[in-house]
Amino acid sequence: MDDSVLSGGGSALPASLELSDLAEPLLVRTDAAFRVLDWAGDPAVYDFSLEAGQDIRAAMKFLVGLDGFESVTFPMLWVDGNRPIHVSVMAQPQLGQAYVLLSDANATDMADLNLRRQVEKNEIVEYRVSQLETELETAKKEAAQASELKSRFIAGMSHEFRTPVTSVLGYVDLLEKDYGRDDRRLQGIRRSATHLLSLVENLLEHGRVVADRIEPVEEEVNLRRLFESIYMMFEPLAQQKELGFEISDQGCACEEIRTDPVRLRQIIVNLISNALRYTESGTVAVTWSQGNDRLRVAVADTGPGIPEDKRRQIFQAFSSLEDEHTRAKGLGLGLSISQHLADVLGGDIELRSTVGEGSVFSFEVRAPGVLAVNVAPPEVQAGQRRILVVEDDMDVREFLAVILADLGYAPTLAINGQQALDKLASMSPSVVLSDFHLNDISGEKLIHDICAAGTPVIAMSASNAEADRNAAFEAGCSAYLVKPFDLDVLSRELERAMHG
Amino acid sequence: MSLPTIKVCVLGEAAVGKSDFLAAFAGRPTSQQSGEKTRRLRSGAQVELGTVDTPAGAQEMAIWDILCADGGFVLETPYLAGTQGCVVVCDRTRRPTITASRALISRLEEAFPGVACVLAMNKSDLADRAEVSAEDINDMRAQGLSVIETSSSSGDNVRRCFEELALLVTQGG
Repeated sequence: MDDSVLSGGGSALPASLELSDLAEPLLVRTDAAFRVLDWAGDPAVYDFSLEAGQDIRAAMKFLVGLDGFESVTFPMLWVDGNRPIHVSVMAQPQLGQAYVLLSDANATDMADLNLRRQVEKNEIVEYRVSQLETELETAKKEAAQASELKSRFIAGMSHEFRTPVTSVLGYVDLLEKDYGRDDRRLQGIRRSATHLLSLVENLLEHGRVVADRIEPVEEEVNLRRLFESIYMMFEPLAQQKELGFEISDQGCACEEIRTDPVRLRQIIVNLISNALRYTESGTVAVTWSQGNDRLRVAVADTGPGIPEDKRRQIFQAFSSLEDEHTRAKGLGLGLSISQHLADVLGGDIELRSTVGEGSVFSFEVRAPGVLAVNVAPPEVQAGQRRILVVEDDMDVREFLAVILADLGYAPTLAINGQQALDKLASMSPSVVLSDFHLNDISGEKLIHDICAAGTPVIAMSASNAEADRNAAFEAGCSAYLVKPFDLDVLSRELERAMHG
Repeated sequence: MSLPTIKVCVLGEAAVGKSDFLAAFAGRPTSQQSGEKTRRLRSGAQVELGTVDTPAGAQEMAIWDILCADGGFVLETPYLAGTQGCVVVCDRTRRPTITASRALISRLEEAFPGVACVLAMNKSDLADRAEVSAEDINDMRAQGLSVIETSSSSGDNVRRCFEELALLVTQGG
């Protein structure tokens, strides 16, 4: 007897039933005329007597009216008051035969009932799972919203911190001119302010990473000047820790490149800041090179080194390797942010480290060179160097007044937008240097009105948001400086604005 | 001379006396006679053999009592497969059962072309409660419906129903 019909060709059988589910099965094979060919099982169990060649309907009168060409199932049949049977006729006309399967219907019914119960249980479980998934989804959304709110709060707070820190660092610049860079008091102020700025920058960037996708804002950058300013920033710290500190170029095909200077600077500052923080003796050596439209930077230190099992961890947010032997403190955001920023700039940070000897953090980012145009600025007439400074923060305003005078300009100060517009007509400045977020007039309107009067405007803001930057340029500004900005950059942009 | 066995089904609305109708045919005590409630099948069908005399000889029948054999459900049940004739039992004291039975016969004839049907007007012994008059029955017969007034309690005409059905089946409806 070919049992394959039971699982394969037995379309009349419930799909869920296997032969093993059937109690006392009796399987009879007939020809197309319903004459018995052979059988498996005991016909006597059902009080039937079978003979090969006989019409099965003679033995099983309940099959009267049927033939071997039609499949049918009677799930529960009482025949002459006996126990119920399950009957399946499985016609196979293409083979000229049919199968008649009998089994104990109570057992089959029970199996079917159990199956139905299992299906119902599964449906309940599936329903519960779908409910849990919905609840989980809701919880995730709420958590994401809370996280975004937190990030926006941090970003907002950080933003507010930037302006006063800019002012502090600006005054340190000025004081260093009088007292020299060796003054330990100024070194202390610079170190603290730089550290504070670094923390604020990283918090701000972390908020941005969580809240939005960062898009690089590319502009022309002079690499040599960038590294010089970074050297100036950290050199006092290295001196104070009595560490060797150097930045050297290993070959530079093009000094002027296009990149996002804020993000590039942040990566380098973070790596150097970490190196100086964790190195107690020895040196921190920074090397850089530019070629093939790539910038490669490596920061090597002689610090404690990073164990193999910690190397992944340190690139995670709010993770640092502080221990009782180091007094270094941080938020543990620097490397996480730097890794992300390197990715934004088309690169990746690599780490090589030997415990007890030191570490080398290196990265390579996209940095296409631009043709440097050395145009000597024409001599500017005294009358053309008048600058109107519009800034509502008193400290920053005063700092700018001092520094601009120091750079040879004649600044006139306005504490808000309206005052700026009033003064514009009377003083005819060469350039207006204006904060973008004033209390009385929107930055866009002020820039628009001043530009309409034919005066170039340089916008300043603590915000590096794409939307603010775009709005300022659309209003007509010639440059957009993010606080705290480098004095060299300020000077360069002023000259550019003056000469169209 | 014995004739080939035929398959017939007994159908009807609930509580029309179908089980007693079958008991009366088989010679078993009816529920009224035994004092026991009729055993109701949970599901499925019950098959028993019976024989009636016809002019052509003894006619054996495989008689199917199908549970829930009412309304639209009956036509979809597999138990009707291969049926050659149906006795549709209705309750003469409840007109709705008669209306439903006539509708059922129409649907059976549509679904199973050539099937023979006999309408058993049961409980005809309860003449004072009859909701269908003799005139109505004659009208039905005039429309070509085979109607037989029966009583499961007394057994009157029950066997005649099956004899009539056997004739209709063997004569081709």
